[in-house]
Amino acid sequence: MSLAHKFLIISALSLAPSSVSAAEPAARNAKGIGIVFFVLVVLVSLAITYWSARRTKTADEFYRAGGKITGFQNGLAIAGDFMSAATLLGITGLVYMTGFDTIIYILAPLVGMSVIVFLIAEPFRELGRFTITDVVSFRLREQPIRIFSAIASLFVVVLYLVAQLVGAGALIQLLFGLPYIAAVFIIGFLMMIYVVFGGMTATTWVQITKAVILIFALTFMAGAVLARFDFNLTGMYRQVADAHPLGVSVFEPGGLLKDPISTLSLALALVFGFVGLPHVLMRLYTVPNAHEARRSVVYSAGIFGYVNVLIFFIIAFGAYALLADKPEYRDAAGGLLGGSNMVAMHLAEEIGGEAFLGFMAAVAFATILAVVAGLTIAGASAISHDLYAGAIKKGEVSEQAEVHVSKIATVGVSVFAMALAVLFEKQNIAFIASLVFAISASTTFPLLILALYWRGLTTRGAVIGGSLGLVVAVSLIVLGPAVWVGILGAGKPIFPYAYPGIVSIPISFAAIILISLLDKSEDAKISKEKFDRYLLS
Amino acid sequence: MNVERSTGKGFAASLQYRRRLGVRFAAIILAFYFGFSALLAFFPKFLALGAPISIGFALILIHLAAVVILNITYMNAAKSAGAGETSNRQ
Repeated sequence: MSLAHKFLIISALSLAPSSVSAAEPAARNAKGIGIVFFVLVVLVSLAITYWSARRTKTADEFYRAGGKITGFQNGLAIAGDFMSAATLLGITGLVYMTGFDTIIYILAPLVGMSVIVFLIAEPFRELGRFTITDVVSFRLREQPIRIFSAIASLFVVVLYLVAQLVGAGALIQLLFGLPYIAAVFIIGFLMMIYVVFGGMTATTWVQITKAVILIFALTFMAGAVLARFDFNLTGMYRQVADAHPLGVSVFEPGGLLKDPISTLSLALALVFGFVGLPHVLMRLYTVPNAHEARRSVVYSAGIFGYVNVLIFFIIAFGAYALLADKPEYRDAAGGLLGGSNMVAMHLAEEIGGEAFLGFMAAVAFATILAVVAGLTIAGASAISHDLYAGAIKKGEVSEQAEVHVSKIATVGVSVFAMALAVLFEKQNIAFIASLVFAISASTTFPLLILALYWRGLTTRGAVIGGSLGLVVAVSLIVLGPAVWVGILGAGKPIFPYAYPGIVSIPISFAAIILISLLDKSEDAKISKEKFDRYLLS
Repeated sequence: MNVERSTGKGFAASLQYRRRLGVRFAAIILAFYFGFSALLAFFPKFLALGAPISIGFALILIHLAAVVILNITYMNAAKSAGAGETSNRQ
């Protein structure tokens, strides 16, 4: 498995399990003061949930926090979805190990956020109500497209959730010394409580609280690192170049991405996969209007950019300069204790002692909780709003019944994801993270963009073409190196690239467009009329 | 779905203007991103020139600045073209 591929797990917040083992004392964990901060995080998040529960009665309040979140607050929440343990631990570790190439994982969400601002936010907020499927189905025949779009959303959300729970279980095990199953159960149980009782309000405020703490913690960390080098960034870089095994090449491309086609494929999947993520888009409904929705994404881009600039330019390289010659952070083989995912934690200990290490471990725990809760509510909404209320009951259902089904769906999604996370504990789950971005970029993204910007889209084209995109993306992952060689143990992959986006995204677009063009049905005419009525006038 | 029709030629014109503007801005930012990705994929040596403070680092900063500038410019242009005056049509 390549480093780039390993990182795709991290980018889905799941931290490469291969680097984390219960058997080996991987790192000094944050047992002492860390447990105090850990308990504090749980108590604060439960207090937020209690406060939110009293404000969550209707479907509107459950799915979109009553539309009462401001643009800035929502910007923090959206940025929080991508300032996860992946950012704090994964990106820091990857820059530390491989340097320059990691930037593609930072630029992709920023560009994705811009695409949402320019193309998606306003029509999405104007035409939809609670979910991504609302928007895709506004001009198409509702039942088939709701079923297909909800299933695609569920695929993305549940797979993302499983990948995160597996990584999170390993991470909590590492940080606090808890058994893997206990870690998965604690995270799964808490995310279920947040969503069942507090709905989107609790999910959003837990995310906002965590984002604010993370921003201040990383700002402090970056300041402390720079202070160690008398605020001389170039001097720090020269020290890194002298100490790093890659030498000055750590500041050059090539440390992570070796193959040009895979690089482009990854770039495509990351940016378009991001734009199609249901749990991110769902947040556009939590603000009062389209203008605030757009503002919130601009804020999120600014916040995400700030945090990642700190990590990329200062924290990760600074960590190398500060930790490289310290034997206390090395294992017997000379490697970093706990693997590269622990770079940020070691740096925290180096600059702030055990207290700061414990605090940062609790922050990492909070980042996991906040992100999985957002995913859970997106999955529950796809079941209750899109499948139950929209496709099965055809809109003829009371609000109370829909909220009730949402809560049952939340429990179902949580238990299902926890069970899969336990089953996959020892598996290489790189392919799951690849699937998330591949399916999102090849299914939900083409459907959404064509529904909003192409008059010719028809129900038949959307369902058949979208299904083809889904099948191709999944098949190419299975036939590629991650599953065909990594899991099935075959000698040579049938599809040579780890990321299928460069093939599956064009196939999905082409199939949807071609089938729509061939569709001369009455249904196709209605779809075009609705496009003219709702998007052009 | 219970989507109500919006009315008025002024509304339609401003909606169309914002859509065209959005497409142009998206095209610019995607061109930046995929241009950078193509350099990373096919011309990594070019990005490495001048390391440790390399051309690649400079391009990253330009890219980040472009994201910020384009977002702010688009927000202002969209606002002056009527964004925020529409209500949720649900």
